[in-house]
Amino acid sequence: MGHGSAGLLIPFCAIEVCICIYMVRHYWFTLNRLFGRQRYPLIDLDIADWPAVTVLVAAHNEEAVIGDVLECLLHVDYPPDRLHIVPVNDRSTDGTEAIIDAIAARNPGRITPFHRRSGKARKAAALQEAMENFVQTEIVLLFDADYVPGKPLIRQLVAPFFDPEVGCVMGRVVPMNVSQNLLTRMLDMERSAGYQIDQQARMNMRLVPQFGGTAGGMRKSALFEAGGWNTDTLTEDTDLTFRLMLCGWKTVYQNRAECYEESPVRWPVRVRQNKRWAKGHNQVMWKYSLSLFRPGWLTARERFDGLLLLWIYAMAPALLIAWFLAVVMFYKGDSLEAPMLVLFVASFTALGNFATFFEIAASARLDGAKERLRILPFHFLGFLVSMMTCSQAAFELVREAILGGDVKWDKTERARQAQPRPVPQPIAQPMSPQAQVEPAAEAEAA
Amino acid sequence: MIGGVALLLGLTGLLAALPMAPAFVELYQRRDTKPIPVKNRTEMVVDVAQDFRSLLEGGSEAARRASPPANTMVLETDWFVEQGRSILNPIYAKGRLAGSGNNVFDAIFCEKDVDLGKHAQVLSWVHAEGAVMVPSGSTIHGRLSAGEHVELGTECSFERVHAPVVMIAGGAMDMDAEQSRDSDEDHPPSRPRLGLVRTNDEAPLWNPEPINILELVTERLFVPEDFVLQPGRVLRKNVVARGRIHLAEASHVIGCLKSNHDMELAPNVRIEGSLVSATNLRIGRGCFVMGPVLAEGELVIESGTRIGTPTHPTTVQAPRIRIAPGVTLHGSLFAPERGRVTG
Repeated sequence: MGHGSAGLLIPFCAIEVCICIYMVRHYWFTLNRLFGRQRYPLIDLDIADWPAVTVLVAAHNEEAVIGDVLECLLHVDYPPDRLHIVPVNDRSTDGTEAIIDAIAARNPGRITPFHRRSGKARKAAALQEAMENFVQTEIVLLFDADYVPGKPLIRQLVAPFFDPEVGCVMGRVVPMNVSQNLLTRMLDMERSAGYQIDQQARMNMRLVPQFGGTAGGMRKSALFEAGGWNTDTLTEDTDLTFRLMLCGWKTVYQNRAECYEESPVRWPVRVRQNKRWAKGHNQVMWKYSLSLFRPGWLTARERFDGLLLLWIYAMAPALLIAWFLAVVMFYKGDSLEAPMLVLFVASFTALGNFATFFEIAASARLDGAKERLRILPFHFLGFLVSMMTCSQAAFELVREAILGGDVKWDKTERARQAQPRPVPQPIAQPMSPQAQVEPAAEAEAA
Repeated sequence: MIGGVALLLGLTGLLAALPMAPAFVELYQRRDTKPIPVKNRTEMVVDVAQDFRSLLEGGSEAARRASPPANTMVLETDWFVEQGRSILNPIYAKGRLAGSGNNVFDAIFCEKDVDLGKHAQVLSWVHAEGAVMVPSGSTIHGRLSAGEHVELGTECSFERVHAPVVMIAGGAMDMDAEQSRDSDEDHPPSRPRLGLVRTNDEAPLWNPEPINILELVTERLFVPEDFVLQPGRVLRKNVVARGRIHLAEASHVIGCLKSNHDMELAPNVRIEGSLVSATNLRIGRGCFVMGPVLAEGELVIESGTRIGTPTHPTTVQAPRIRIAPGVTLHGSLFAPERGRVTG
């Protein structure tokens, strides 16, 4: 083997070792979920002296969905005098404001609209302003406007805060528009794997469940101790997860606190969403990777899991580089000192990582799904798209860091109108077209 | 020649695509495209009993008599079950129901009081609108709830219990004056209506009165190792310990406590908040705990302890619970693996 081959083989092997670590992690998580002891602390808390809670609903041009989430929140099983709803209408230019005002007027004392008309763009900036000016309670819950919270959800999300170590809670997100097309069906299975396996396994093993920025909540004191919302990142939720962790607060995942959401129905929308997540996650990776090694409250296993969580989106471009190196080494023809290793690893990584597919299949089984498991092979397509998207996002981030330029935020497009609502009655009734038109008409009349 | 090549390529392609066939079939037939069902109801201990009652109340009286739901045994008056008898149909009792000993029941819904009799077994659930007496040596496999109170005798086993008052083998029904006065001062039972409308700049900000422990105490004491509170000391903070927690006799904490190893409360400790232990938790004699109690291992509650108040019921939960006689709880008790009253 020449010097050139050694120069290629070392980074190649380094990447493969990293991928193998992630493979072990995926299998470990999946086996834990299938056979390990499950932890659901405080999920069965049915009677308690429930604290006052503020629910923030982030909305930017959400006229198609905002009415539904507010109506659902008005009907949850939580003492009405202890629950206050603040729709954060962030510079919407459609009928969002009129719909919010009409629902608030019909429910005096329960909804305080926050119509934000100026200020820095991005959800985190709007939430920060809402937290500073509209939130008087210690416990704050967050929902995106396309979410459909069920009756028990608020109690389930508040219960973990009776543990004084918990700074942040995350519920499970369940796509409701599964039947729309192949993409929504695949996203349903991916989400299932992410929550049912990844998040719950981390919870079981006392690692680092991730706060997803919606269908969850936090202590106000913990948030401010950690420095409030970071308005400069694209994934303020991941950023907050790590800042809370470094301050000694735990994030708890409640697998049975389920909430419906609408997943993207078009590939370009999905690609943009994935790119935003990848860029934001990689921003957080650069900021906090070293911080995990500083002395503090964290256990060794939390540091290691936190590190793996931070670097997960970096694995896509790393895999592309590994493929490229493998091809170069093959054609150079002088890198065959470890031919079996190269062959094994290259063939293994041809599908990225089979452990991911195992994880998806296991989560479908845990959810009691049957026939949908058959579309598992199509996830290879999803894997390729995600890998290319995440790689592109990583390379763009590097380019922007070198050449300058602001990272752009894209709002996820909604497709609610075409979808029937799966939540049981009475709270799950889709708003009638009349109800959606009325507020706008009232506003125009005013 | 060309035909042969085409045939070969076609067959190869077919063979290669064969593993994908189920995927394409499902994609085309769409047999499993419903969203994963999500629970839309808060899980309460009394749910099963309420469902049963709803079932009974459906339809006319005559229809129910002609065909009672799920072979229910309807008892119109007070009823005594002879010793050793097993009734494996659900019972709907309009009067009192009393067992005579060694009875086995499947499910009971009683409009008045139930006395299960010694060494009784309930296989599914039991609910009384009045009181439920579970004499010594009985085993309740499912849910046990009452509209007024539950009395659990010595050597009883339970899984899930709920009542305004749960008395363990001689636990006190009424709170002593001191505890009642203190808890009412800190947590007034009658709450004012808190919601105030605000639309941007006009209306006042919603600012609820902080009456809950999670709102009253937000300061946190983080202890990287074991935490010990000296006898008689009062602490007004939430405490999180990476190690054990030991609260010495007659100490008083206004706040919530979390230990990542065992937690132990010496006798006469008073906690106005929650207790959470990542492993085992022992609550000594004569303690008072206001908020939820959770242990991920074993929970031991010694005699004379009171958890919750009539105006602030709470939840006690651990996989394994051992309770000594003389304990009183207000709210729910949940021991999914094993709950037992000691002798």
